[in-house]
Amino acid sequence: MTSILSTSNLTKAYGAVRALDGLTLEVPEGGVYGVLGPNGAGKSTLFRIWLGLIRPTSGDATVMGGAPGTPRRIGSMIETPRFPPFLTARGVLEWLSLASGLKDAPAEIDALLERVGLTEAAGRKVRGFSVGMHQRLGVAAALLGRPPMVILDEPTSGMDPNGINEMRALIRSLADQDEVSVVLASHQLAEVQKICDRVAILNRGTLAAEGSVSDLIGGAGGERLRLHVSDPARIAALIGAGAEALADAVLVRLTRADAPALIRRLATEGVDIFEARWVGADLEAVFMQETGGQDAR
Amino acid sequence: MLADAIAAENLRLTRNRTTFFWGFLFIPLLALVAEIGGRLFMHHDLPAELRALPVDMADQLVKAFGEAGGAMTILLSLIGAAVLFAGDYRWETWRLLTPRASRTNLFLAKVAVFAQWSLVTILLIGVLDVGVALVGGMIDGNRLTFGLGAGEFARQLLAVALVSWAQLLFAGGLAALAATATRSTIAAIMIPIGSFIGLFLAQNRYPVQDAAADWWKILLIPGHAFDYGRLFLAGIETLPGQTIAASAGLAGIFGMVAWLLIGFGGGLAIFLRQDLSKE
Repeated sequence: MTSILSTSNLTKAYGAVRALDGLTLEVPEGGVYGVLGPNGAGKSTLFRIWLGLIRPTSGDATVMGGAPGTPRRIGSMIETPRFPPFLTARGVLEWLSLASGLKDAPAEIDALLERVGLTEAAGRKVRGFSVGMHQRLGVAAALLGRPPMVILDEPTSGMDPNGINEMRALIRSLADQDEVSVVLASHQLAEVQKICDRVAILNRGTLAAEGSVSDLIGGAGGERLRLHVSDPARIAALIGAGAEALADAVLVRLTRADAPALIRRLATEGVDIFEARWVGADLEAVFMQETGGQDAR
Repeated sequence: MLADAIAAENLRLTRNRTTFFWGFLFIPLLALVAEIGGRLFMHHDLPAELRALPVDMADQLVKAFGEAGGAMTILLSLIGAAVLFAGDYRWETWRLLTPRASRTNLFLAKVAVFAQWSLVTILLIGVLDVGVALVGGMIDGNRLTFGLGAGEFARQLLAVALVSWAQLLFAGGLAALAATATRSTIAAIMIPIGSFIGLFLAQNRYPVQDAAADWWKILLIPGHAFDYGRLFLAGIETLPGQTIAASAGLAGIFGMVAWLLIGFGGGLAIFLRQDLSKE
């Protein structure tokens, strides 16, 4: 398996806070690779190091076999992209194609604007664009020059449901038809499950889990009951075997037939249950298990 | 490549019409209007015999290019420099550029584009000034003279134009340093203005009494460096038959170069080590 991105014992500290803490990770070439994690897990920091925007405190990172910060044909979009407000959408792509030294830009720009659904807005200044339009233009900018790899941080953030579906299809087609390696970070776990081949789950700057989506889901076991309670550790101990305390809830492995009895028992013992729901064998279950139930957002 | 980064920077600057106009075109236009106003005053209010005095075109050209790096030009060129060097922090667009070109090329492209358009500003000021003088002279029937030999004229013209350009570059360098250090457009304008006030006061507090002995003042204070660098390069006589001491002239040239390096070099050094986690 050839790595297109990698890190070795990578640490980035901001004062006493470690955004990345000895992270070692290899992203294989090809397909769609998702990087998940709760807020502050280090996803954006990791992407920024790969793109040469910031330097690690210690450890190594490589991008297509070389050091970050050396210009390569990498498409990228970090968070909601911003553009010089006086440029039109076409102007933004012309400007960036010049910066990239691209020769056959005009034809490619038209095709990219069409691909992200901005053909009609091509001549409008970006200062009037919505967040979703910024996002689409950011993806078009990332694809300029047909890079072999694109790094996308929250590519569907701020988009309406139609836009999200279109973007999902676009990302998948990049990997399947254009053979582009896509590395993305997203909070949308369902979205990641649908479009990613492999994922890495980061938690507090470290690697909590890594593997193919199907392997990770398979390893998470079957359905579990998620009980939102006020003192998860005490309640987990009360339930006993099969219960796992998260930050604000308890995950219980049991059959659906046994659930009513458990809830009745807890109610009898005075436990306040604010919410009870089944968590399926999906990426969300894996995510909660690996991050201790922190909200993905 | 640097050429690609320069082309991209040029495209963006020229499409930022407000900045482009105020930073690089307004002063030439203002100089044009002022020159036309002056000619109209002469045409209407001066007696015919004064209006018809000969016009020394060589002197007119050297003066025009010499004054092109004046305070107003510097002040307005700071607008262009500030937007060039701080724009990517303000618009949060470094993240779009750094994967496409090296940081050195991205910064040098800004320096090159500022140098290019400040040179155009200088040339426009000079050419428009002389153009108005020429047309006005023809209307008023002035006899056109050329008071310098070709070699002397070329040397003086090149020297004054070069030093005027260096004065704008010095301002641009201070803006570049302030912009990268503070990531702020306003600071990229205000810090150079504050520096100019301080340097102007220093220039008056420490005047050059004896050019040869006071070479260190010339080296350290930019105003002196530009004045003595200009005199030395142009070979202008300070007293009949007397030019400035070579030590003072060289101190002026070294001073100019050093101040340019401090601005642009300092900006580049900061930028190369800068985290762009939040532009």
